[in-house]
Amino acid sequence: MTSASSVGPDARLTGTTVGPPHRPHALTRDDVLLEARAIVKEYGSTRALQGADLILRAGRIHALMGENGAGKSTLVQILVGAAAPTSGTIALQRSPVTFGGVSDAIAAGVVPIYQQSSLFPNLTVLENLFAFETAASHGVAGHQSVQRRRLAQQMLNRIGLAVPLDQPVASLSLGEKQLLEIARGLGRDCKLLVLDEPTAALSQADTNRLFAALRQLASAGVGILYISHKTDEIAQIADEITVLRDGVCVISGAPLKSTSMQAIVSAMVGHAFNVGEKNLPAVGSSVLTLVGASRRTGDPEVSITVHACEILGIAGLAGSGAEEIGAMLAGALACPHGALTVNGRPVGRMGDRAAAVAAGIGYVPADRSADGLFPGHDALRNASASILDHLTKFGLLSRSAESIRLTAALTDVSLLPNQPRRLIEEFSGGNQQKVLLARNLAVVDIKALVLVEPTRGVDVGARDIIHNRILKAAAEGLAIALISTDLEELTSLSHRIAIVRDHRLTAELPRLSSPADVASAMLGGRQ
Amino acid sequence: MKMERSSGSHSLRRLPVSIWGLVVIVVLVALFLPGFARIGNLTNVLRVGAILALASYGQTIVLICGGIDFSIGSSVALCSVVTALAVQQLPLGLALTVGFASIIIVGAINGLLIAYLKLSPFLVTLGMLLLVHGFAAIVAGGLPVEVPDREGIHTLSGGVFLGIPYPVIIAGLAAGALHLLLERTTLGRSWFLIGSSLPAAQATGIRLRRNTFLAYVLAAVFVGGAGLILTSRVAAGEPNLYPTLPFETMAACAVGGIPLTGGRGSALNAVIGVIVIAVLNNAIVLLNFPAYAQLALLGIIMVGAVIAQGVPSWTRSSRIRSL
Amino acid sequence: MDTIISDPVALRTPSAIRLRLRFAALAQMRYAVGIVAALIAAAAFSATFPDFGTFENAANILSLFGPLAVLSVGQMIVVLVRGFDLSVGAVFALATVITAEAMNAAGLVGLAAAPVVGVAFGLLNGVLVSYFRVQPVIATLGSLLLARGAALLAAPNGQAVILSGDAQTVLLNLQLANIAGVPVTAVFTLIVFLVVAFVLYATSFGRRLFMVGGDPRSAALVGVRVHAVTVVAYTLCGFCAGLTAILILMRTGLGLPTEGVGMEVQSLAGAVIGGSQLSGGYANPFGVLFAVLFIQTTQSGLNFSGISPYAAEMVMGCSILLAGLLDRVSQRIFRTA
Repeated sequence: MTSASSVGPDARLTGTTVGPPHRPHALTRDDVLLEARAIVKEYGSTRALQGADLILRAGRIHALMGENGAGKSTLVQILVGAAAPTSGTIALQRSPVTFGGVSDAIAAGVVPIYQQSSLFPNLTVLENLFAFETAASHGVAGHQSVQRRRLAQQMLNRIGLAVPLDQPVASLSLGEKQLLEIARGLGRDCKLLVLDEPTAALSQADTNRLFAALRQLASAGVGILYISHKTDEIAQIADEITVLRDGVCVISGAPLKSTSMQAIVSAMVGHAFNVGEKNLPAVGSSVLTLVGASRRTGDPEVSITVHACEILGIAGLAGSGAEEIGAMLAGALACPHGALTVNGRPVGRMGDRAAAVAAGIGYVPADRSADGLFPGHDALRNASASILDHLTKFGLLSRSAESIRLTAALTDVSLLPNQPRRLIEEFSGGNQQKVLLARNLAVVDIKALVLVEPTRGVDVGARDIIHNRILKAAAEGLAIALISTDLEELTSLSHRIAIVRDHRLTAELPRLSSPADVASAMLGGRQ
Repeated sequence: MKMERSSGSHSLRRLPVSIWGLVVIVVLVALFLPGFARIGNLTNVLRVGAILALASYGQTIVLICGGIDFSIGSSVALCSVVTALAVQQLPLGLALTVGFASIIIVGAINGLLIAYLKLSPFLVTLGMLLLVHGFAAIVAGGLPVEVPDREGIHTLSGGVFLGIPYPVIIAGLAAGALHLLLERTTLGRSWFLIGSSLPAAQATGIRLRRNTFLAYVLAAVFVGGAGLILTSRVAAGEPNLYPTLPFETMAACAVGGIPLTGGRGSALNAVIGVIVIAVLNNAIVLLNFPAYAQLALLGIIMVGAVIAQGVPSWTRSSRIRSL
Repeated sequence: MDTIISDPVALRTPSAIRLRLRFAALAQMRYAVGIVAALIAAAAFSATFPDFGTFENAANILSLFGPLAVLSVGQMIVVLVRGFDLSVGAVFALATVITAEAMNAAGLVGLAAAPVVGVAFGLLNGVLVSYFRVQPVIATLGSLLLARGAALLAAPNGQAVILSGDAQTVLLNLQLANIAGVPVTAVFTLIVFLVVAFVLYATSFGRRLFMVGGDPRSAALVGVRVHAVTVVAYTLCGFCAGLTAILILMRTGLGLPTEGVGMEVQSLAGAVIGGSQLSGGYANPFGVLFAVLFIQTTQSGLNFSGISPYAAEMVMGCSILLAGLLDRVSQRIFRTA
């Protein structure tokens, strides 16, 4: 029993080293691969999905779009066996299936690639690549076999990731981890690949690599479900599109060629949405200045100045150091060298956020759920966190002052639903981001605001509100540093765009540079 | 994922779920055990509970800011040994102060290692459990240290004011102080935020190191109260005074509804947990169960209480929220 | 072959990668601390006390370290999956009482009662922690109280149960026996460690333990049955507590209901000094083996020196703090590298 079952997965995998890595499963292009009908999912009294349909065909890349809370994630969870539908049917190659868990779905050839990392930091690259096999196998593990190593190397090569197989994943960069995650999914012998926001932490070059790999898989007959917020990516890669809104399909499997982006966006938000030029305020005197800062001795030193009423865009690929420069500007990163000043006055020690807040520097970090939110607390308490010392009466915290001051701040950012006493984790990603913005705008005597990826994973409606609030803050005189990989956001909002490469500021582009110019500057002429 | 919160009466909703468990237990025990509801017995329940209550307040603070404290059993033992040794040379009041100070010092060491060196609270307090106990035992010479003036030192635990024992008054006042500290000071609020998310607290500009350090020191103040009352009750320097105290405080906090994952809790939760445990212990005694069965029953009831009140919240947190 | 690779991302800074790799390897080497500490302690005591570094004393240490070692390796398994077990001391006390009674009634067959008791409590802990989502502190504290109460109830008047008859003779002879000078109990302990190491490193179940400890959410997402793995981890820990009971019975010939108080903390110390991280995902049985040898050597050495035996407790406490400090330092290096 032991030997037979332990050979199982290995045999399947080693087979792929000989032949082409993804056999076509006797599927011809356009055959219906998976058909989900009238899927309903209820969580208590909430109906996350109310009768969604999805048809995925072999060899097609099918885009799934929708605002946060539209039911995308729920639908994906049901498709990959991570959740059970309340009602509705799923058929795989025309025979009905019920997945009892993720392992069932994987065994049936439906392989998920997750948005959040599902890697094991304590294990090596090799062990992570074969996590699915380890999860399903029994008996003595053959994870060190030569064949497995060779196969693992091929899996990495497909996506162009060169990391040692025995390196612990904890020491990989964010972008490398994301690529590893994708490499693991692509390496599966699968019929249907489900990718949920795979490019969130990827640079443009890495995204291109991913797309090339996806096209190749599709041409081999694999069906692909691609979930993304980024309309330009969808236009680039997808064949068909489904759009969800409030748990129902508003566009259902339409060919992308005959569907305009405008139509898709308005289907998502339920109303027409304008992407256009923004009016920026005139720039004032210098406010936030970072001089000669470097993360470690020997690293290049960075100096940067942001002026009043100015939005300074900072662009860089994943791992280029753009996010670190943001953290330095916010005084959130301990540096051996460098100084931060606000209006010419030095701001304590680098890495002392308390001093930076006292000097009036707001900071919205990149990873909202890990570094921004206080789960288990309501929106009000989340918003008041930076100004607690200013909410006291006779030395005691005044609940009424807190409520009055921050309810106003939350209304100001159009929190939806406008319930300050609601737990923060019950808001959508976009509204969580609004709460973080409100927290920083409430900082007493705020002079500068550092925003890192303020609209990452945020739906279109909230994105617009956040952008307008940023513009308003600039018009009110704040110095704003905007670090983002969303080039459209950068080019439409920034007065000028600083380019970061290898922890160095390499170029500065003027207002109204095109996203393509920024992209090529970020790549530094390598393309 | 959107989630509707059940909208009930505002004030009722704010009460911890565990309070209903307490009400049910007290009513049941009072109905079926005639001896329970006597004033003398009730006073005794509270007197016994007061020590656990004070220590649990300390544990509450530490749990809220995302830590845990295993060392309080050893630190009350140290307090008794230090007091018993000091009373042989110093006046009683001063000796008690020295004993109290010894607990604060243990708390400060915990705080320094956890806040400034960023060591894991579990490890630090586990290490301190052994370290402090070993130290107390060596200082005491391995045997209990006798206190000469037993009458005087007994006053703290045995005294009565308006029919209420001193320990109960102290525990009651301390509960009020803890409530004020947690709900109405920026320091208390910052503990909730630190316990909820450390990186977010840092990005927000909360003074992490100072506030975490103060959490362990102020927790030690409450534990110090427990230590002094215990010392006064046993009137001896006893290195093996109350080794299960840290576990019992965790049990009390858990029964009262404070999750051990940080970021949540209140003085009321701790008080409820302590009273539930004290009432059940008392009921077991009144029922004339063999002394050994008390332990087993306490274990079952503690786990049962935690399971019972945890059910609604698990279903929410257990789900994978987004893929 | 389908090589899209033209510009491997990570090759941009090969030296940085290699540096990170080296520090990562360093972090994995944490378990070596137990070995070094044991050697230093042995060398220091041998240098101070001429009688310490003898073969007899080494055999003595080896004959004593078994119970704590087996208990610690069980503890290590639950620490690996982000848990811990406070009930192990009480569980093995209960197991000694029940096993002693079973052996007095049924002879050597009664020995089977020890692992059965251990497994039962391990199963209970595992089910509470995984399926009922009770915090490990609460669940295993509940089991501690339950097991201690049961042990006192099972023993007549809460007194020790004395082994008698043939079974007792067999156990005593085993305890005194040795293979080439190495006590049989030490060989037994070593076999337990080898089996644990085999399970951890060579079976897919072992890999799943590391996966659940490294990131339970990820483990669930790739299809590991996290709850089942957790239950088995606690059950193994309970089984080890049962084996510890056998070792104790061999040594004392008594089923003592009050045995094992404080052993839960010592076993955690063994696991932690041996390189386990309480945040889960890292464990090394041989690190634990040497950590326990270190603890036993220190205790033995302090006996030689005539210093209060409580000093050993202080040494253990300091070792835990140092282990934590070391983890912290390696983490820092990790992050900046």
